Amino acid sequence: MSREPRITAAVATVLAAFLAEPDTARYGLELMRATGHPSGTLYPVLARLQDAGWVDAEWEEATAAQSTGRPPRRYYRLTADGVVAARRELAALHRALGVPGRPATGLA
Amino acid sequence: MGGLTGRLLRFAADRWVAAGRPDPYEEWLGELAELRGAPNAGWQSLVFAASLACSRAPRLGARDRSGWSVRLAAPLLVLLLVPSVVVVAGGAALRLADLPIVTSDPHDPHFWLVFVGFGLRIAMTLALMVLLLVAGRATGRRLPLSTAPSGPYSTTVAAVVTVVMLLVGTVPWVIVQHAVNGVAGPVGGLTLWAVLVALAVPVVLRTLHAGRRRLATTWSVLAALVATWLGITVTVAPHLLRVPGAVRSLPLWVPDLLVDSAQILPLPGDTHRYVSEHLTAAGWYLPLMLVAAAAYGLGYATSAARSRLAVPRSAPVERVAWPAGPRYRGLGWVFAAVGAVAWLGLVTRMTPPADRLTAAGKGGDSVLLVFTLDLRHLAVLLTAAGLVVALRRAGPAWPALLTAPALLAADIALGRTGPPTGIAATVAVSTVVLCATAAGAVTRLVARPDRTYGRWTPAVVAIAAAACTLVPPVFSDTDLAPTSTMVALTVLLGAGLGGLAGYCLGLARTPHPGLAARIAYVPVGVLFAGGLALLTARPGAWLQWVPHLAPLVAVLVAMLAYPGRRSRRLRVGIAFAALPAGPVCITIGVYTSLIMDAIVPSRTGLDYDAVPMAVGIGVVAVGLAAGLVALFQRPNRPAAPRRGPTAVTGPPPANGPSPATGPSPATGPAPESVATAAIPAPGSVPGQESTGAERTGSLVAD
Repeated sequence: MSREPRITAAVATVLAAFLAEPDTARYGLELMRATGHPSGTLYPVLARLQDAGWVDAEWEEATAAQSTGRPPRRYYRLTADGVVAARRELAALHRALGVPGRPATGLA
Repeated sequence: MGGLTGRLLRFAADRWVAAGRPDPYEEWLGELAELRGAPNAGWQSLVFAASLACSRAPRLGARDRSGWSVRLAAPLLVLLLVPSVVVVAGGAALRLADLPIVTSDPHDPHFWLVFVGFGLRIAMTLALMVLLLVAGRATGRRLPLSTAPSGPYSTTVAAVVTVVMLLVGTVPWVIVQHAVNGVAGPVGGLTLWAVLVALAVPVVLRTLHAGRRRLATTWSVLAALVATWLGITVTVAPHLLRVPGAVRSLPLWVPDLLVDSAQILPLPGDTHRYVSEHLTAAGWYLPLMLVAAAAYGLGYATSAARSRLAVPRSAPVERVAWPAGPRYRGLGWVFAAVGAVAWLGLVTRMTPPADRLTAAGKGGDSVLLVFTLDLRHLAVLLTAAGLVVALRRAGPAWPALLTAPALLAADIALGRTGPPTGIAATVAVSTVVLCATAAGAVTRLVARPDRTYGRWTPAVVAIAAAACTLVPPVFSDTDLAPTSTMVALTVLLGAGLGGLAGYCLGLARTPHPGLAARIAYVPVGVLFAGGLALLTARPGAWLQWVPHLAPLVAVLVAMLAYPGRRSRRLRVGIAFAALPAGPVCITIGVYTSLIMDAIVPSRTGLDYDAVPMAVGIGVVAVGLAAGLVALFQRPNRPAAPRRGPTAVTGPPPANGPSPATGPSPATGPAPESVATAAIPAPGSVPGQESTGAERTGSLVAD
């Protein structure tokens, strides 16, 4: 059973990175560059988001990876529930912090 | 990929596997493959792997709500306290072995009893070591320092951190010894002891991994004895080498200290007494403290280093339930009855002759009287502990717990009335019966409180405040101020403390107490503590105990006002505020009159002002801080829904929250505590369901 993760600063940053392009799958190194978090922070966050059912992960096709001469990557993507929850949590966070304007919810 | 990078990555992946997660090694290798093309690829790969190796693997399926400070605080504080607790409690227990020693004259026909005492002491020490070894193992399983898989890393961390914390725990005693006896700091000996204990950890661990548990226990006990013997011998050697004839008995220095008798030294004439006195001055406290700390430390370190193998993260930790069946309830009543009868017997039968002997100068410099007093305190504690067991799970625990301060207060009051008379005995019997009956009745009448975050704060404050009410009567007189004013102030503060305790009891009574419930117990507390202070207060006492207690009381009030706060600042404040209370609590504590009076003679005539009371400061402050940490831990259960109008189920804002999907407030779990409900939730989001406890911790950094 999924349980909602704590919305820490790191979790919020990762969610914001996902919401920048909600339909795009990202791999770990890409998210590290987008968020600025080290690997030791990012992967535990991704694991917790997976536990919560907010993020799905799937391996890249082996043929696609072999064509570029590298090992397969693991891609992460927000689930439908994850998109809703991430928007809700970020909106709440912005309100709690008193940040003016609209948060980066990924909506046009 | 470099060798170091690969090892770090494998180590990090093993931690994830140990946490019950799929092996992420292949995924991370894929990421490193991309880094190979980047500038400075070797360094970046190393950083990537090192960062993962340093981070914890997240628990599977449940959130670990406690922060690193809370996770580490418990094991570190336990290790820190072990040496002092052993010296104070174990030292008092070992004194029981001295009871058969009625003579030190070799020509006395009863001299053989001396060796019975030696045997008792040695047997009790070995039993204590085995008990502490088992306790250390249990602590290591439940509170490991590291979540890393079993291996050299875990072993090293467990061994080093354990011995360092145990060493730090010995520092107050070293300071005391230095201040009192002017003995040079035993740095070399203690370091040798620590190194030997640390080196024994992998040896014992290997034996445990081979499945030979009894052999591991034997190794641990032997290692603790050898490390202690060598460490103490090196420590006291500079002091003893100056004593004529002492070198010949070097191997028996430690046994002499352990049995606390010069009879064990095979030296002619009075030389053995002379050497033994120097040994005692150099390190009376060392044998018991080091041998017990080594046993506990070895048990803890070996268990903590292999705990990942024994209890995988994905498996629930087996909790040892406190026995609560009818048989144990009966046992509790038996203990309570034995304690009560013992207390009554001590008050009416043993105290009067002890008084007479002391008055006639035959009480061994009041030692007999003080020993009687300590036995009375022990009997009171046995009564209260028996009641706690007997009434376990029948209701809240505080009625049974409060019998201890009530009986102690009665004990003090009886002690101040002079030699016990028939009236005093009647009062004592009535007090015991009243306390037991009231505890039983109140326990069954009051609903058992729900274990919710912050729920126990009022109870803890109540108990602490009630305990503090005992302080004014204990302090004796000085000539610092006019009698009437000081007595009035003492009574006022005692009544205030009692009122605070009563208020907290009312607050703890029900989850949602109204004003009437909250103040229902205030008059009782005021009358009880105020009356006690009025009966027993002496002039000038307030100048001593108000500065000691005021900071702690202030923090207790702050805790009451903000029971759900978990800020580090408050925790630090509590620890520092508890510091001045340390000497006070040590002064009035059970065991302390015998132990502390004997080892830390006051320089100023006021024990609680003396420099050696640093021990009390450390012990009590750390103990209080450790106990209070639990107040800031969150409940390990699913989040309860918010009650009342804040649980809105209406449509969400345009781009905001989604409709709430949690359980209905009407059918949710038990209501939140007063503490939790009292927490404001600024910036709360309509439609978002969470508890106040979650709210306070929602922005904790990773």
